[in-house]
Amino acid sequence: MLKFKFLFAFLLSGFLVSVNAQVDYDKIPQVTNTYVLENATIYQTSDRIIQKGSVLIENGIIKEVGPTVTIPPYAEIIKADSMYVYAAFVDALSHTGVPKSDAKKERPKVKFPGLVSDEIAGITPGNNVRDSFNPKDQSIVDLQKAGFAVSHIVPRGRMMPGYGSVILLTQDADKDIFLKENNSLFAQFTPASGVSPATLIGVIAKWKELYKNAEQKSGYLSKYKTSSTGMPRPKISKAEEALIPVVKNQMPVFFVAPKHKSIARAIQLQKSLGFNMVLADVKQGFHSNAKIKSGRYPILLSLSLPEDKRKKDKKEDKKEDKEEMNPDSEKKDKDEKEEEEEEEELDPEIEAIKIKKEASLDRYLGQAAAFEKDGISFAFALLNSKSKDVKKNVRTMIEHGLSEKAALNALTINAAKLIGVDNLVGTVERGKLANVIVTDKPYFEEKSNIRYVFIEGEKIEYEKKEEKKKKSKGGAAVDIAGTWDYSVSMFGTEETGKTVITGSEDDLKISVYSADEPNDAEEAYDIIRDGNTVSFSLNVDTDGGAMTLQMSLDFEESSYDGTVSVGEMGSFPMKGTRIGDPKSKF
Amino acid sequence: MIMRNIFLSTLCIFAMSFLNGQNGNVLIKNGTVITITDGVKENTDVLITNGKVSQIGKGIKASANTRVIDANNMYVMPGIIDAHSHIALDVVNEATNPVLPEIAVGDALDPFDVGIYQALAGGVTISHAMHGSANAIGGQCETIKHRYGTYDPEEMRMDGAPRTIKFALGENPMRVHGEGRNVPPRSRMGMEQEFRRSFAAAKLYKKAKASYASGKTKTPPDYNLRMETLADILDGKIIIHCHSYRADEIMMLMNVLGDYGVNKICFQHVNEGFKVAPELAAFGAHASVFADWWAYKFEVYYSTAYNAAILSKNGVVTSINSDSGELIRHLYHEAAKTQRYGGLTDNEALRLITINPAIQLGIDARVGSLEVGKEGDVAIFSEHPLSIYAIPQYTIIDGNVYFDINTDQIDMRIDIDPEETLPSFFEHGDHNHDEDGCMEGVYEQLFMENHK
Repeated sequence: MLKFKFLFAFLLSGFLVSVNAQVDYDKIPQVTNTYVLENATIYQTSDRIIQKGSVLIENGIIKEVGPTVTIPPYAEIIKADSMYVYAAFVDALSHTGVPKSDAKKERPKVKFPGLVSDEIAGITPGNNVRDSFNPKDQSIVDLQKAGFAVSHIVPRGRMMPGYGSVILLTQDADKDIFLKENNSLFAQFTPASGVSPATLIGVIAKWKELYKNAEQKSGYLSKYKTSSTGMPRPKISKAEEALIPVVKNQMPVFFVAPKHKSIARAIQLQKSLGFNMVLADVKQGFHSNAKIKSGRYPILLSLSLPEDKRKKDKKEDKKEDKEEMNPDSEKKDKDEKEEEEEEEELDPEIEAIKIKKEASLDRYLGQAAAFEKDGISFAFALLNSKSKDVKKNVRTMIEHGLSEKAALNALTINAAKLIGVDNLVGTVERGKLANVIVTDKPYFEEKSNIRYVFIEGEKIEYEKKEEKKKKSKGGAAVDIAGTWDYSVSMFGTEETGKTVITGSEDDLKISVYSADEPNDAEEAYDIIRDGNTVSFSLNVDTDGGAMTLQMSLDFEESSYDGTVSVGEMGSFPMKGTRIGDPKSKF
Repeated sequence: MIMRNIFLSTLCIFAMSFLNGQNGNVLIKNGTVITITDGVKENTDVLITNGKVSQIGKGIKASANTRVIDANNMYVMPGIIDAHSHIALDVVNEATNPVLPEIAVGDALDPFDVGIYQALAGGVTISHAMHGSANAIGGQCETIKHRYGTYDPEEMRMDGAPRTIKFALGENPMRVHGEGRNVPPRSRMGMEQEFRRSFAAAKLYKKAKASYASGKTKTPPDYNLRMETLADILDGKIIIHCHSYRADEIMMLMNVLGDYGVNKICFQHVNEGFKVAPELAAFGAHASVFADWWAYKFEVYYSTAYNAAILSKNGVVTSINSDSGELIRHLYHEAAKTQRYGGLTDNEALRLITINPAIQLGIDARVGSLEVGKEGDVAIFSEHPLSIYAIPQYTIIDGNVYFDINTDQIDMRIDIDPEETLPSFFEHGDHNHDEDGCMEGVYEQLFMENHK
């Protein structure tokens, strides 16, 4: 039976990681805390750019920026010629590091759904995000990878989940990662489940009542402070007291309002009560420009966008064109043509709907650009968005008219201002925290890679993503029969062996031999060949039991590369070269 | 193909901005004008200036910036008013408590509901967007003008219209709270106590506030939006619209209100109203009924299509309502049924869908008839509106044309989700008549509560 050593290695390395996480004396100190980024293009701000300059980082602070800087002898010099330095991004609102709570948690049985505790109703404005924060959460690493160094995090919950705080996105346990605590109240139109407030109108009524009571409480408390004689002692209400900074306009409310109607409702509520409000997670603000402008509401734009299927269609069209040119696929052509003719006879009503949908889609994709054009300043926030989509989606916004300058501002200084940390972060300027990113091409270019992220001077280095070789689909079919070696790299270890492929295109047989057990073959199954891409499954034995591996390999005449997916553990690169024809032996 | 696309997108743009350029000025020429309050005038013009009716007469000349509609051979009547509907709302019921006066459907207006346009296409210019009937008391309703095409929910409101609130009697609240949750009210006796208990509490709240205001007490009562609203009902600042069917419970509520000195009430549905018509008239209560819709649950069996006529003849201010996104499109048919069942005159029948619902909503000084000085809300029909052959031609609000049969589009939606798989109007189409529209959203809440 074939054994895959690397799976064991995986378990082992996982074990080591967790040990590392708990015991700090294993932590390897950084060699130096002084760095010089040399000869880079530096975007100090979106419109202050040093073409060939250097940045000196020392003790977590940007010590110097300019065409030349003094280089201390103990500094690590990073040759950044042809690289680009930006302020690390600031996420203006998200649940980073705040894991979803256990959904299966049993709620106590409710007798009167109209009479429930604030906790069950989702009214917990006093909750501090620190209490639900997990510094080891994977989302922190993901945000670093996407170029973020600071995040304004808020607790999860329903209509009033609690206070937000600004954190530095580091996992260094020695650091106080909270840059600013309790700087905002997080609010959304999310009703409770089956109890009051069970609907949007219930939520709004609760807001009105609670707010008035907080105002009343605030007034009473200050009166009581000056002359308590003869006055009954104030009653305790956690929620009301937590709202006092809001009613005193000392704390802004970050109100989640993605679509047009929720924006209109949040604005209406704000107008009737008078608190300071930031509109958050905005996706469809384009019908409210005038109201947003006249109310001067700060805007946090969502970093997610509706899917643009037109792009995909285009790509598929291209693929089809190529296939059509291939004489081998003539048979298919006929069927496809018939299908196309059927498509031509679309219902005009459906056609009209399609056009409307596309027009609507363009407005969503052009939302950021429309705000810029209208002079509405905004920042980006990651709430309900995926960090890996940031660049892709910002690029789409740029394709739809957003300037790179506005995009960079929204990712950096605008976000910093909105959460009140622009004195610390958001630009590459002397005296600010050393939160910078270094890219190998201008960030907004499609093929740029983030190579370094500095978070308060702590260096994180990223490998350059290997460009995927263009698939040789449509080109001449490779005869893949033969003997190939393979190597899979996984968690720093390398697993090797050989693969013997026999048979013709329709009837392939693939046997895999591990180098450890060269005489014990494992037969592949579910073999699918699509052009020069071959995918198949393989059962292997590990120390932990049987597992299924899924391979997907792109073949060329004498080499192949691809991935192997190992259940939920993820996928890992696999590559190999031709070492002989099928008859040759090891 | 490309040409067609361009054509279609031009249409879309047109549809989305169909109010552009309208200024509240319109002259309707040579129509048969049904004023409701001042007879029928043949070959007469109606001029609306800046949204208000400025002149009714013959040979009126329009100024340059006034749209002219030739209503020759057409019938011009005040915009139809529906005193009971649930269109343009994202939430109809908050069913978590039998007494919930503090909530208001006006906080969940949906200007994108294509049902608004469908109502316009039936000549309806104003509707009373009501909370559902899950609760004995509440929530508050909203009187809206069908200004379809606006993106602003606030523009849907009829500014200055009196506040109204939904009450409900009988099976619905008993089923939701009593049967559904095993909390009061479980019976019609329990229903009465919900009202009495609430009003008594509100009286105490008012007293506590007065005592703080006069300096007698040092601590104000906690601000309680529920009590504030109930106190406003006691003070006559809010008109009650009460979902009701049976004569006994209608009498019960009038007794309770009488005890608390409240008299602004319009009974809704009120299928057994014909049994207590003199009592309703004596109390000053109004009635808003279906033309001929009943037997969809036990308490709605004892009914008659003569209800509206009997109530009217007894001097009760009566209207005919839709409670449905479908019926709302032909309320003029519903009104006509009272001529078959009860022999009402043309004017008596048309009052049921114009000035009478306006009185019930407290807006009769502004709308409900064609009079100089009133708001320019007009419906224009191809035939007499009580004729089965009548087809709405134009619907005008504040002097702006919101429906014009000549430029009517297939798809009138104004907000399209770019990721939707099916146009949302397919979801709206299916209103079944097994249940009144008042229970929308209730079962979801019951379900969630029992399973979470």
